[in-house]
Amino acid sequence: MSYIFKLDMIDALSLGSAVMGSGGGGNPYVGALLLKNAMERNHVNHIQVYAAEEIDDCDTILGSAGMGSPVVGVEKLPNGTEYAFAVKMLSEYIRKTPSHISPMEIGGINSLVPFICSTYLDKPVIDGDGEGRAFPELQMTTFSGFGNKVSPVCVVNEHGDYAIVESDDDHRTEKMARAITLSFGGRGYISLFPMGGQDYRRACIPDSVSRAYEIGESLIEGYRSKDAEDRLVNSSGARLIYRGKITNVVRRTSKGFSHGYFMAEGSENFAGTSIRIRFQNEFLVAEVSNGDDSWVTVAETPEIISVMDSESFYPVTTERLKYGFRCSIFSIPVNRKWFEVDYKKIVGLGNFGLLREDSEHI
Amino acid sequence: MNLKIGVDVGSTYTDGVVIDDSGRILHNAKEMTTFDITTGIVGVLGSLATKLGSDKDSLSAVMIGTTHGINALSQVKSLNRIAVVRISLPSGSGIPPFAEWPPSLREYLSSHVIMVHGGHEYTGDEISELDENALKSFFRSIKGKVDAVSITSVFSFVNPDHELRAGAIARDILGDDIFITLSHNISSLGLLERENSTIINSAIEKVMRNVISATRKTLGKLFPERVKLFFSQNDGTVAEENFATKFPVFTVAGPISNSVRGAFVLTGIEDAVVLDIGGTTTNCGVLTKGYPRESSNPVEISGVKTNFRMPDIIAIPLGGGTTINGFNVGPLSVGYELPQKGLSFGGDILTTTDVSLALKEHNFENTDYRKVLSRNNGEYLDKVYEIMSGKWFEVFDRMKSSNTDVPLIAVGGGSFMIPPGFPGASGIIVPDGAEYANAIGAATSQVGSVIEKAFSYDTVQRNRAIEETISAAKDNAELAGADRSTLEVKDIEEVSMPYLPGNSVKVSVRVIGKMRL
Repeated sequence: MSYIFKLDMIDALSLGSAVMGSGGGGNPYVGALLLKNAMERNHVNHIQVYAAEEIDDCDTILGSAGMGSPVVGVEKLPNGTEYAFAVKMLSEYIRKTPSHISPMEIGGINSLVPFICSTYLDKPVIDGDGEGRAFPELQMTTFSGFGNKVSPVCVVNEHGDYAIVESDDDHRTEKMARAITLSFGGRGYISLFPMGGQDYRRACIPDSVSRAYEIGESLIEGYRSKDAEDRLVNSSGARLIYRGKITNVVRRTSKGFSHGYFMAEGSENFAGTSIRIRFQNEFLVAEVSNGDDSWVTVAETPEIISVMDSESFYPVTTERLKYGFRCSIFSIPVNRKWFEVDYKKIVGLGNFGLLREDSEHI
Repeated sequence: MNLKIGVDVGSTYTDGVVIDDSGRILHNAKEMTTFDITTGIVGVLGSLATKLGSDKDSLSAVMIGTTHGINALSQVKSLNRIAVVRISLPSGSGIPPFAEWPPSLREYLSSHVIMVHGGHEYTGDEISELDENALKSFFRSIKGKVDAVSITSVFSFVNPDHELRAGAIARDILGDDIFITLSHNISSLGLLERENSTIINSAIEKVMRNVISATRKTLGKLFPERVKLFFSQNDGTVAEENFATKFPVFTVAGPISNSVRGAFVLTGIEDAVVLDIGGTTTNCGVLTKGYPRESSNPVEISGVKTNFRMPDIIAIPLGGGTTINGFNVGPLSVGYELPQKGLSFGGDILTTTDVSLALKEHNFENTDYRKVLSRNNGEYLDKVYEIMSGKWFEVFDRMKSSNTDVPLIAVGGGSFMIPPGFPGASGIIVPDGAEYANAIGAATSQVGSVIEKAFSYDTVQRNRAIEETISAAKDNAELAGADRSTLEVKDIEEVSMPYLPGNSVKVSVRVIGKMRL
């Protein structure tokens, strides 16, 4: 069902995106400010959103996102036009005018990016994406799972410089786009995954924007009525997998990603146990131990792992983890679309070097 | 003999002490904190001068920890008229300055804002050339309309060149009387938060100047002319008046750090958790190598997100005047009215002080804990004390940085209430003079400076980067009033910046030394 997105929905969408981002996706605060400013600047007070099922076969859909270092993202801010420019240059390159803009992922800033685009291009946004959460690399999508190519990708910077990356191989596309992003000062603005209506409908995760919005809205309501946890569970199907206190955080950075794990000791029903959660920008796998040295997996990619501050019930991103932090950890089911594709090959633990046999090296 | 005065402005009381060279407390004084703050400080100085008598000729320095800056912001009063410059184009204009500020502050401060071309990448390369012409015409257009300028450039903590050049142009056009803050002198990563911090620094400079002139006037009447005036900084050190005028944001949390620092001075323990229990709140901080641990999260000041170095403090609404209602402890407090309203003082309100006195079977001069016991049964009081203790246990545990047991130091007027045992504490210390820990912290602090710089270890050798930072920190400490020959490097911290290639590292160096008297 199509609906109208308004200024007063930004905070809920950005909060819900942070919950669905599985600890990653960058700083939603910057995204919310950018979108508010873009709507004001372009005198846009509503943005049309279409459900995936409303897309026609003859429609052309382009994805829109930011990529690169979230650290650079909080220092060198966009001027706001970059995302739309990437879409424009990609559409010139493929000689097709997009009918709709789609989020690539839900999480942090990236669920808001298509809306920023839309205020400049006057194109509607689709209530759907390629992940239903956030993942670190461009090809880690159901779009790819159904055989669509990331490429051609247009990577843009704030000067209006752009590069088109084209390859048959999604991994090489990702590598080249990341290298260009680095040469742009660590942050690039991209348009990618050009798709026809039929391919998009088949490959996308439907209703993910409204799912993020509903989760955000119910949390905001829950902060008022002091029952945020119940509302989170009801709105997202979240399952509490742990409650406790963080006892250790180990992090290292390589190849442009932040890798590591954190551990927590349990409280309430979880007293006497510990949990270990590994991440690469996003939380990927949660394992619980009863005190002996054996670890049992309780949640694993592509399932969403959401770490919430036990007190405020705000979602916590990987870069903010620290000792002593009281958290409630939930697993939130991803859309079943992921299980229609060979998800292990795209986003399974092996893609992160986290399969059992090599997990000891982390 | 060489005497020093420390004055600390708390939310309820303004405290002052006189100490001698050996750190002994000779005199103390206490006044109600006044709405304008200054009157309370002047009052404390006056009564200390009286107590000193002819000894006051031996006074060499006065150190003040005050919250004037935060008050001025929250009341939108006595602030400078400012111009705000952001050097970032073509990046950055998607979120202009003053995003999400409280409307009253924004309205007062945002009359003259410009964004111009310039700024740097994380590598130190230019995003674009600095647009000097745009700056010149902007500064000409605001001449006579502003008191201060705030200048922020992208990645200026990696390369400050554009800020320095813009500052020189502003000085050239606007003259010597204009106050200029460059963001790389204030904080680092996070453009919006650094810009906000820089704006605040420019805005509250006038408040600082006013405090100094009022204090100077009082000092001139009471003490010899050569007395030096210092202000407590957020990091537990002090800085001379001229330096504090240049960087007033570095003093806004002075009083909070003073009690953490005072806990160290009174006990000699360098690493501990400190509970400062006042009249309405408990501030929990951490001592690391004798100084307050810094917060790693952005701190909001008067509703504005900032990122300059602030002490890592959790405040909970639990102090000596906190009122008890059934099994609810606080958040309301009778504050300074405790001696009239508290049950054990003869009043009719049950407070945390009353509960603690009754259970510890202890009395102050003007209390009688039996008045508490006659109206409440012991089981109920036990339960209430358990709830209070639980709150302290929790905040203590949240502030610990590891699983190992650490010492706990309790200071402040309410420190007598502390429970005898804390889970996770290796010992509990309530030192003599705990009540004056904050003023003692102010009086005994040394001059210090912390400098933070960003380097790529792929292009700059690690030891050269560290040396460069140390020398910058020493220069700065000298400006803050330190005797250079006494400066010691207290701390070197290297934090790698996630996601950035080229081995990007933030190096911060803290130097501490004696004041130049």
